Amino acid sequence: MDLKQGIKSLGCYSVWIRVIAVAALCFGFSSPLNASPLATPDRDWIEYPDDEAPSQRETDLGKVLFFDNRLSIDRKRSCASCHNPDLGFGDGLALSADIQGKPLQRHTPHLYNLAWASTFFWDGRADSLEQQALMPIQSEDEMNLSIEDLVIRLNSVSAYREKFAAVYGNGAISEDMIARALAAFMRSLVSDNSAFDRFLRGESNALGPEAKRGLELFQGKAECSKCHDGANFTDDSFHNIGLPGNDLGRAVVVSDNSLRGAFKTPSLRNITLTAPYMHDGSFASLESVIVFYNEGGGNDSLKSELIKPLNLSNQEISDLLAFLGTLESRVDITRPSIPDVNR
Amino acid sequence: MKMKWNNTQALVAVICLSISGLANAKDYSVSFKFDKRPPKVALIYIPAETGDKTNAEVDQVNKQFTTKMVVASPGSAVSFKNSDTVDHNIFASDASVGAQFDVGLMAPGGERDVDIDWSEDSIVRVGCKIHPKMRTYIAAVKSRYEKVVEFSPAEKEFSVTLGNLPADANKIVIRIPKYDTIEIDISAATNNTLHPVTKRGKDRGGVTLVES
Repeated sequence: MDLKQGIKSLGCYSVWIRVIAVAALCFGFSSPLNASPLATPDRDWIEYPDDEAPSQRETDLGKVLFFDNRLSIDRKRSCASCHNPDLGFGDGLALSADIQGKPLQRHTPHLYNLAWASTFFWDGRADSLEQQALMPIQSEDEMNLSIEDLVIRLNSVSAYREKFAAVYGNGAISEDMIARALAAFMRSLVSDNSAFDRFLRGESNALGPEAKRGLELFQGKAECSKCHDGANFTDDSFHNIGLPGNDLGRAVVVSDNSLRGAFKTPSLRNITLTAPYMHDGSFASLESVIVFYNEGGGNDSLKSELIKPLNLSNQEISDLLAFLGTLESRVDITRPSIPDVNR
Repeated sequence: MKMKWNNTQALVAVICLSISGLANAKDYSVSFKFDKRPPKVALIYIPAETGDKTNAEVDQVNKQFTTKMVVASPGSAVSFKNSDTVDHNIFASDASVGAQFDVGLMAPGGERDVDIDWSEDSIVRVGCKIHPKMRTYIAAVKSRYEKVVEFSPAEKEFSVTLGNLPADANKIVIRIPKYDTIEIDISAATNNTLHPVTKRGKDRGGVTLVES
């Protein structure tokens, strides 16, 4: 359901809400900035590698792998070490520690609603979740385990052999199977029942007055939806917002210097759970992010023309924060038991 | 001539055909049935010895291409326009057919031509470096009739009418990105034969062609 439908279905609620709804429909409230309409993500639009959703068994297998320290060379960190479900599938740090204990170059991104994403990592260097899933495992700075060693480790555990065989048939556990299982689990991390989603479904009181003003600002004066648009509040695109630093970002991936310092627009779903913010984790709070944008972003020579001073008042900043708070819809995860941890 | 009709237009075409008495032309109904999630787009065409498609055009609006597939004769060009409010950077990289191009940063209002100088009988994916969700395809084929069919992700069954096909056509080709090519002989009378739709050799459904 899109915003128009949501507003239309307000039905017999208070008169002033209906007045807003009519005004919204009249003035193209759903996407006044030529952006994709804000909406609840539609599971029909998920692109699965085999054109159909994975089985629950495959998703569960991916979850076990996701939490298994066996996926790192020293058996001390799993995917969940940095993508901690209790910390918004992040780690709460500006920059996570690498395997030597030094800060990594970029902030850990959250994993919500990646099922709809078309590009992965801050610089978009992976085109699929299957491709993405294996990269941190092999990264020397992150988990530093070769796929060959991982395959050997998993094949040596009878419980894993049984789980993989139940999903993919008999035969040795392979790189492709590991990638598919991890991707299946990540695609299951869907956040789609926030207060905003309920508002779209017709619960007019799901958003308070501040949040409703924030929604209007989000799509209007604050111009947030120029990049944070669509069902997942991201255009899946790359923008230089002027943050300082030597990180080349997207430019390296596409060999195009015009995209130096450009990073992927993060989804804002559950954004209140995933502090700190930006590719370098340099902002501790959402308020500081909005203040940054309100001042026109940073000063990089390749800064996007979309980033410009917004002239928002303190009340308007507060309203935007209230709206962002309505995008929260937690994904609760029960941690799995890890098979035969000593092997 | 690019033929991309909606149902009403197709119906009008059928009626006009009946009135004009062009008894030699044929109409067909094509029905797809997919076992799983359908693809985004398919091209149905009648191959030709020479291609005469020129001035194929694709625009960009709201961070999307205006069509999911464009048909262009090998040796011709496709004109990409940017009617959007943001920059785009169109590119393709498909070494298997020698399709490599990058038009560079295109500001709103910009327009660039891309020469179709790669292998014919190919379908090449085109994207935007800045907006990876953007996707369209260039079908470099010689055809004398073609129809681009756009599917909906939630509908596994889909029918489309092909109106006013040349009477002497003896083969219809269906191309779907990433799927195996389907060729259907129409020189004899068609019936409800189910032609398999496969993706990299795996069954994905079927298509039937019925003369109407």
